[in-house]
Amino acid sequence: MKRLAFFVSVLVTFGMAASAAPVTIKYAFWGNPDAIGVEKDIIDAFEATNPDIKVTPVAVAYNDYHAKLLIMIAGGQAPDVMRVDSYFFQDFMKNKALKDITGLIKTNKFDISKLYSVGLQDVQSGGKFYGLPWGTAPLYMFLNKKMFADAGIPLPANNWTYEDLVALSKKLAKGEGENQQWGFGFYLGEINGMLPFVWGAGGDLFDKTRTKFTMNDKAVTDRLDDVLIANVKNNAFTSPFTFQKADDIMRYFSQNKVAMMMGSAATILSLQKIDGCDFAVAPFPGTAKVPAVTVYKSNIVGLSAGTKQEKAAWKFLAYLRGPEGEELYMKAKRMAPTYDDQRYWDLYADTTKPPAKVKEITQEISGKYGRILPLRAGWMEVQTIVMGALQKVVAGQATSAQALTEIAPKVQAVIK
Amino acid sequence: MKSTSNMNRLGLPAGILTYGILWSTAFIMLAPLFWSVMTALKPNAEVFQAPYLINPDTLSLRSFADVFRQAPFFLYFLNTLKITLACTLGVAATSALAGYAFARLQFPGRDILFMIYLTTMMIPRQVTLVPMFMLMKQFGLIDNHLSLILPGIFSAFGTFLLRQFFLTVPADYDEAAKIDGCGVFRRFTLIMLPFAKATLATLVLLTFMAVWNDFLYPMVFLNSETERTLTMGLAIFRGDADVQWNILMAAVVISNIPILIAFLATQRFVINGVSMSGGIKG
Amino acid sequence: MAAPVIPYSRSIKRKETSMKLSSKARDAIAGYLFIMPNMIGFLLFLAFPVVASLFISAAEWNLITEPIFVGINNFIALFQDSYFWQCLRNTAYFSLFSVLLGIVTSLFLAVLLNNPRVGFSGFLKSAIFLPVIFSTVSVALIWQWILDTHIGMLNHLLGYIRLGPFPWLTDPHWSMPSVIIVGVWRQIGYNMVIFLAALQGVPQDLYEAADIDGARPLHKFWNVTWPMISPSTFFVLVTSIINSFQVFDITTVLTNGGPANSTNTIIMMVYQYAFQNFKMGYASAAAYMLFAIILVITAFQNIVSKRWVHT
Repeated sequence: MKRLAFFVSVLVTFGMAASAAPVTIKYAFWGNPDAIGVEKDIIDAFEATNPDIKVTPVAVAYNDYHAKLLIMIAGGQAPDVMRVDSYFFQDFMKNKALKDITGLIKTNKFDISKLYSVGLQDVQSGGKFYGLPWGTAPLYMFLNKKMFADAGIPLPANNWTYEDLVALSKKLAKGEGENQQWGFGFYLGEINGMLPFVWGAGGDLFDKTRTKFTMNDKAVTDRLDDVLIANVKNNAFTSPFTFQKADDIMRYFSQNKVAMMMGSAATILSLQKIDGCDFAVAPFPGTAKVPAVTVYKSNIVGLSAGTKQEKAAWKFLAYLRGPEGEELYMKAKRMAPTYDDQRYWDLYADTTKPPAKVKEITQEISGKYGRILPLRAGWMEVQTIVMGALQKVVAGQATSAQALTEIAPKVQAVIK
Repeated sequence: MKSTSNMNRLGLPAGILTYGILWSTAFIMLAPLFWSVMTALKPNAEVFQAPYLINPDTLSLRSFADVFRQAPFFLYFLNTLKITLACTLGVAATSALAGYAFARLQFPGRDILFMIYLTTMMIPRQVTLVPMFMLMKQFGLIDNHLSLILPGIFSAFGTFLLRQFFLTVPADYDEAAKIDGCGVFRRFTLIMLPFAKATLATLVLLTFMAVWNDFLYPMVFLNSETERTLTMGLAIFRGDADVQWNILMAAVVISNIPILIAFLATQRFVINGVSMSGGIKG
Repeated sequence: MAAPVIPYSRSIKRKETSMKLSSKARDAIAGYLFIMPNMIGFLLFLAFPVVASLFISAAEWNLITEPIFVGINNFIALFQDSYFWQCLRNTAYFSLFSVLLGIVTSLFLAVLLNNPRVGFSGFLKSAIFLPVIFSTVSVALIWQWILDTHIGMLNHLLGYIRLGPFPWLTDPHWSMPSVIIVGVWRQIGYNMVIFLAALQGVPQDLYEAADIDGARPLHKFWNVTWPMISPSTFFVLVTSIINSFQVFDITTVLTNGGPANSTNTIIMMVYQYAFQNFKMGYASAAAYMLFAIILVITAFQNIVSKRWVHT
């Protein structure tokens, strides 16, 4: 008995000593200074309740983030917890850079029941979880209420179509030079700005198995010509060559020169900072046949496959994406809620500022009008090739059919 | 003595043209820098308006305060200063030694080694990023300023510069010292180095500028905020979508003020030094 | 008399020879010692990574899993890649025009400033040199704002004289010229200062002799100035070309390679393939191609320099 007690007490002492030494984990993420501040707050809160774990943040600007992440991984210094953009995620999963946390989720009873479905889909492969969703959000169509009111046109219903968009744009576009107004503003940045039009035409970037490039189908290229050439010519849509960046269009939107534009949850925050900017959000216009064309995507936070601090890293991940972390993100209004939970929406949405009913619209989008991107490995490379081709179209160097057919073999080679 | 005031001024047509071109060029060089400072002084609301609307009533240093509030720029400044000084002194020392050796000392394979060393100047840095990272990781120097300093104290350009310079120093000095029984190291430090002062100063200044403005290596090798340099701090302000021009310009100004002050204090020196670096034959 | 001298001179000779030999050896040892820090650095931080990159370019590597050896496949694919050729064309276009424009304008400014009768020359020199001390990223950010089609200062100023607004960065025909102008803007001061020193090194008597022969200014420039400053011109030419071929920051910040790939450069392609497309091997191969091209151009310039560089 005495020996057992002694043995047990020795074990306990060792155990306590082992857990007393703080474990350090690295957490990599991107952001501008405000966003980095939010992450630091979350880290501080976590460390307060978990004194045995120390979190070292590795923060880089978004433009350089995945480069740094890959260099760290290649050099054997992968961060224990890392955020990955969905565009890169498929490649990370395919090459097994992230840990399968299905077991951890089950064992620790991490509640995934209220996660928006798109978030759940984006983090899984073959039924296994490789991360938890972060920044789940749809793209919205933004409507300038003042311009609609001035033109005496009512805001469109949520089930509006592409034809409605074109008609409204033509009506709202007018003027010249300093006083010029456009109906719909867009820019050729990421491919998800174009996909709603592709989907509306009944096509897609890839086929169902995501191994064949299908964007050069006739229906799609006709639609793209309409968007990129015809409607730009009559100034109903802005020319991507006069407005090259998102904030150009956003600025003109806030100055009541562009009536409709696309944007994300971050755009809502930016517009709210501008006084007197009254706007509404809506789903993307589909077509009668294909009503659901609003892009919906989610980024991921996961554990590195080779992490040596699995327990501590999981604890932090669970905190980061669980109720504690989510609340802190909502309070800072850093991003839209990843969970379908009124509590978070109340924290996030500022009901004193536009848009009205942001939660209802978002839910309607996620339920009825949302569509997830056909993500797959090689997404970034495909995007670069396709957007290069579309820019040729806008530059008047080719029609959509010509440009996309020309690059089709190249894309095929990437996704084979 | 006859008054030479007339001779010291340019004639009218030549003068107008010459001064016109020179001053417009100076204006073109300075104006963008001036405008960026003006943008940094604007409040949020005005940034999106046309650039010429500089409202004296609303000029504010708010953006600068925001930059310091959002990121510890003074810490970045200290880090950058430390790395830059270490690299600069190192480059001066190693380049002088190697430059003298390549110029004045005979040893087998000297010229071939020099040629090979020179070609390394043409290698794009992106090529060597990943192997360098793995090397630094082996040394345990990731997130340590030494990962920037150690590779930074050698410079093929610096060696080239000093070698070309030492070639122009008459060989007699060296020979005379040799005959007097002077050892190599004493020849180097007591006789050759003093000649090289101006070129060394140039190298110091050019290296300072290059290391101060380096972004790629700090981005790759440093992780923690406490180790960050000014260029990394600036990069984070670029953001992806919502560009706040006034804050961004404030960050640009803040990142460059130290080197600007250093330049203004030593401009004559810098310019004379740079002019020497290119006037070397062969 | 001869007897006492001979042993003396013989002993001196022996001393001298022994001094010469050991001094030569000492020189050689010192030589190696002196270059040792540089050579260690060279081996470790240049030779090793460069050779490693060569191996990487012979492989397919996504940076996450192990590299797969593929021999020269990357290079073969590179030759057939129209994107590579376009990036190369853009890079060459940028280099050619920015170097030419840079040299002509900086030489012109140096000639103007070299006149001792020009006042304020110290201030003018510093002012024109100032852009050089800023980082390329800072310069590009400032110009991104100035050249903005809508809120940019340039279009606004041109609006006063009823010109524009011009799509400096958003039209594929304007984008590369705009990028070139920004690149030149940054470098003019540096080249000008080098030319100034070279100009000041031209012996005055050469000009006086030319004057006596009744030479006109342009003649004087071609026959006296140009040959005398040719070593500096050569230096500026070589370093400018090497640097301009590696352009990255300016094109990334100003236009991000667009519009329609008009400003995509080789280094940008290397970066994209290495860190976005998960093809580090291909990126390494492209970087090596760039290195080879720069090497060839520099070697060519070296050979041709015997013709026009006056030493």
